Amino acid sequence: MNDTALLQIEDLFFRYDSSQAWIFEHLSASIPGGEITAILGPNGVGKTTLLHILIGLLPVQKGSVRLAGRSLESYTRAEMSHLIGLVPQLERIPFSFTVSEYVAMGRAPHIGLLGTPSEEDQMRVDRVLEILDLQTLEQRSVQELSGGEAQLVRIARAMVQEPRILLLDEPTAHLDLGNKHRVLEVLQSQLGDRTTVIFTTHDPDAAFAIAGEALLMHGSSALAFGPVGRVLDGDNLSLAYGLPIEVRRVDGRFIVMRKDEAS
Amino acid sequence: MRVDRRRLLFITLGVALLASFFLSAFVGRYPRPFWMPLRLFREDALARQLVLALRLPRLCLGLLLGITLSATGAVMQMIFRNPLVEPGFLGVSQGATFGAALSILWIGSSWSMYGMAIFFAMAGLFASYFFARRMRFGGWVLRLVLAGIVVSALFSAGTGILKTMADPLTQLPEITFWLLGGLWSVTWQDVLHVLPFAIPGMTLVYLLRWRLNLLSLDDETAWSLGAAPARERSLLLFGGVVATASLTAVAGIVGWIGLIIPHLSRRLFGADSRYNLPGAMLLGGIFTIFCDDVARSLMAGEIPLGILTSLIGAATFIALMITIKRKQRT
Repeated sequence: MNDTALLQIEDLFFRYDSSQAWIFEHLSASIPGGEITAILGPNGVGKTTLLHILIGLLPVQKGSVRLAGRSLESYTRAEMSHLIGLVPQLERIPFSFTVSEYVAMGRAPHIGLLGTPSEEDQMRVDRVLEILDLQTLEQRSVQELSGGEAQLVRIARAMVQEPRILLLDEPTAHLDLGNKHRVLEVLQSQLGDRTTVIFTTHDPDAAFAIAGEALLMHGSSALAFGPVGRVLDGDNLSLAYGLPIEVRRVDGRFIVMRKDEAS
Repeated sequence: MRVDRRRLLFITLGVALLASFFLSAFVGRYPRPFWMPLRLFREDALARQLVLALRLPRLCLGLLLGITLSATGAVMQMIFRNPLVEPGFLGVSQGATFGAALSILWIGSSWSMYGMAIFFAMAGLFASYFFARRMRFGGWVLRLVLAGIVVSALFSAGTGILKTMADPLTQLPEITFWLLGGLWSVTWQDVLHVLPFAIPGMTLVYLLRWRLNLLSLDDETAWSLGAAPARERSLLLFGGVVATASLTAVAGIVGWIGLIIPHLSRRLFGADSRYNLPGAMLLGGIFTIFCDDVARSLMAGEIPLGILTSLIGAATFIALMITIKRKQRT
């Protein structure tokens, strides 16, 4: 399987300051192309940091990350922006761009430093907005959107970028149940087959819902990596979250619940 | 529909700018207040001389000044992600003033004045940015504005000291009048001196106008879209500040244009700087030419341009802020 991995993380170490302890060490995972992978773990375990390393915003300090067989450092900024997109957990947008203007920014890697979006770029923007059923928001200000709308608009921005890999940081955090499912459904049905999706979450349910593979992080290293059903079992989750947890299978679906102390 | 409205706006502003430029050549105090009949331009040699040698260079410089201050204000607002900054708030204008005063006092050649103005304008910007980064309280917006006020105050104190040291008969009046901000002594030579700084700076800003949107987003987002946020922001700031400093070296401190015009343009064209940046350039040109018309024709003596722009700019700003729709508040 390692041969087919699109993203090969091997023995990765990272810390923000050389005087501090490693945020994670000996982190390894081979993430296959064309699938949805969830990165799980409690808050502060370094999930966002890992995403930032994958887009090249933070350096590979020790260990290696290979993307499609080449080391991550060998890619130019332009190549990277065609390969990997990012939807951050929160985005502060200081000016009231319309949804259409904002989503068009996702075309930046195809437009270049001095260019402006062409008719064709605008058509792609319109098409993605249509696919995500966001046409009615087109002329609305991004500052007026609800949490769920804003998340979908950010995803639309990353979709028009047309990356091979899309990273999402906590895409379902702070969303109500309806919006959470809408976002997960978009990730699965609109992106799942063409794009390799990697998302972080602290919610095992989200991983069970759409992911094929899971990377469970705990303490300063990876606790387990592999198919969701195997990685996210009661023992691993209990260890990661420091709480007795059991996973039950009901009607073919996995239910994560706190283990009853009495039983 | 929106595209048509935008096109119409651009055409209107373009025509207004051209009209105000050419009509303003006939506005002034000669031969009588406000208006020189076109006939005179053909018949009166003095009138022709006045228009060609005094008013035209002055108009060109006013146009450049308006374009540069507005565009640089827009760039700073986007890059610092703060709709309340302008060159005058971040130590740029005060820095340029200090540099130019220093040059009047000790060096005296006009090229050194540009060099010193640009150097200290950059120093002012960097100092503001640096202090804002180091400040221990408040959000980024507040810190940046506070740091800008502090740096501007330091530079104006420095300029004050230079004034006490200046020769009261020759240098002091020069510094004082120039500090008030105005275009009365502008010659074709000044225009030629400013061009090599202003044109490349503004061309750069204009070409990168769509990119500017990207640079107003969070670093991680801009980065993931292929931008190098720190480098590209510095490049744009450099272009804007060099142009602003060179114009400040000639015109003195002309405030408020860089704050109010980008706001106005954002109101007309929306947040996308692909459109509002050229819009701000056009509006800035019109506004500055208009203010300078008033400055030289309203009273027998000149009213300093900086005073007029502050008066009109501050009043407009208050009006805009009070009437601003809630959804547009940023």
